Amino acid sequence: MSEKIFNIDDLQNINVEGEKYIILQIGPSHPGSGHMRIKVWLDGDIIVKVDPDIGFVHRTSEWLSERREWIKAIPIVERIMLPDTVHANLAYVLAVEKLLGIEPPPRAQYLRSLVAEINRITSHLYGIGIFGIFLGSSTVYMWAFGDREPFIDLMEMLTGARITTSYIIPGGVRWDIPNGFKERAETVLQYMERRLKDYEDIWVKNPVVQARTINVGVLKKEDAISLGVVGPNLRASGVYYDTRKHQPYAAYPNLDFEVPTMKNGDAYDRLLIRVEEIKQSIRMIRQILKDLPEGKIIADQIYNQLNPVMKKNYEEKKRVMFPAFMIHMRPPPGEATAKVEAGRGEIFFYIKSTGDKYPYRFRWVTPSFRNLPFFTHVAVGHRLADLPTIYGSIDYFPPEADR
Amino acid sequence: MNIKDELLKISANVVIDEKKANYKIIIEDPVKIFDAASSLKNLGFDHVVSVTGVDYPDKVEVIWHVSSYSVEDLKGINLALTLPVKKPERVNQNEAQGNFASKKPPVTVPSLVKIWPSAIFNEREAFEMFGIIFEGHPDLRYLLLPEEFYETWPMRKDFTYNRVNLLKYLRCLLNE
Repeated sequence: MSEKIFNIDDLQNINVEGEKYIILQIGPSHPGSGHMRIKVWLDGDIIVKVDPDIGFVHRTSEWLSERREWIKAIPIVERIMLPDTVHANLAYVLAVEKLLGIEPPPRAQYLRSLVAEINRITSHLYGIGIFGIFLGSSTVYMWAFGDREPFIDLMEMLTGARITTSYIIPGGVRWDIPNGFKERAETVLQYMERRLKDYEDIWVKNPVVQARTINVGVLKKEDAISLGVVGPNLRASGVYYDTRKHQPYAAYPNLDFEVPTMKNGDAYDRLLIRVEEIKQSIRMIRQILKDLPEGKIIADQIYNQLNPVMKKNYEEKKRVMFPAFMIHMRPPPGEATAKVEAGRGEIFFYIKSTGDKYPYRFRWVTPSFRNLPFFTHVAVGHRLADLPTIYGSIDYFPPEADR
Repeated sequence: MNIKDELLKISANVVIDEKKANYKIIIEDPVKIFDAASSLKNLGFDHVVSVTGVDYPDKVEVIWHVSSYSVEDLKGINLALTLPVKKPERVNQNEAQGNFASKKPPVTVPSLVKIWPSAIFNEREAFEMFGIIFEGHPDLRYLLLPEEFYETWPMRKDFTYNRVNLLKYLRCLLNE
């Protein structure tokens, strides 16, 4: 077990030359949920050193976005973070809005939070399902992916697309809430609450799961802070930090929710915290549907740019079509940063504009990339058989880390 | 704690945008960056969010975005520690034409991994994308890019993608 505090010099001090250690290459073809390679040095079956080798699904999203119009970056960032599309979209749009100086109306803020919370539930269910298949439980894998579907259907009902929604645009959102959505959402939420009890019976409180996850992959609080781990993995180690609380955006300042934290920071806590966050998301969706304010779904600066046909479309169908402003957008010179709490952790955007048609610098960091130091530290000292448990528990998504 | 005064103690060059909670410290001298980072860490900025470069015609600006998990007052602040470095002149023009993209000399800055271990993968990425050599980094290797892009620094603005030379390069690899 990794009892001592992480020290950066350890990386150099481990002498892995010679014939004492076996080098094992896990991957790059699909060790679980995407293409990455984990190079493991083994002493018997004890892990001595781990070197995560990423970049097999690097898609140059920063390079592409710096050579396109501002609005065209939305589909690019979405396709990098497939289980968390709404959050990637939202983080980028928040940064652009800071440059443009546009504030979306309250109804749009609430709709953003609504779709983000639905997306968070699908993301956590995805993570729980992948963790299940890593531990060898096909049942919970099928269950979680099946229970994702009602929420994805909700997203489709609201935005017109299942996964890559492109729902959030600078100044607001693209569609208003359709008829019958609230009733449908309430049915789905009640279904999910029933299902969470089933999950607890068969999966979370299962003695086999507990035996394989408790005290495995322990990340202490100090290490979590110094390694810069994000999201549920950070809170499982007992750090109270959530971007929704500390740098609020969208409708989160008005919502009543708790940030669950755990104490031990082992694989079991990282499973529990995802279940707790699903409960909090259900609570938030109910509040949003109850308190949804009336009014426009797009800021006045954008609304005034719509032509008469688009305005008619907006009044009748509650749909925002793209005015020419969107493609000719040239935000004033300056730089902006934005942070959003996605399902897997915190997305960070740093964007620099020179007043040009394209962004001058487009920098973004995804949660999985910031969870990478996890491998180098936590797995050391465990047996090889525990590596899938550790890998599965941190909900790592390779395409997201490679960007 | 008044964060602005504390930052002004570290460097005179501080840009603050309170509305967006964006703070920026500019350090002109690479020698002083280590001390500045240590003071920031003592202040409570305990992890690095992102390390990146911004490429300009004459200089590369290296930015460490730092934030805090442990101090309640600092959790809402995004701080950018900025170090502009002048680009060195190209030594030999003829040599530069050999590769499929023009070879450009890298810049050198001190690594802050010793202070913030969370920068370890971020600094590796900034190295391969911008040609920033972080001196003192324990493990400065290429991270995301395939071999044919080594030493081309693709995120710099004067990067040119020459398909013909890339194909020649790949053919050489096949013949080997």
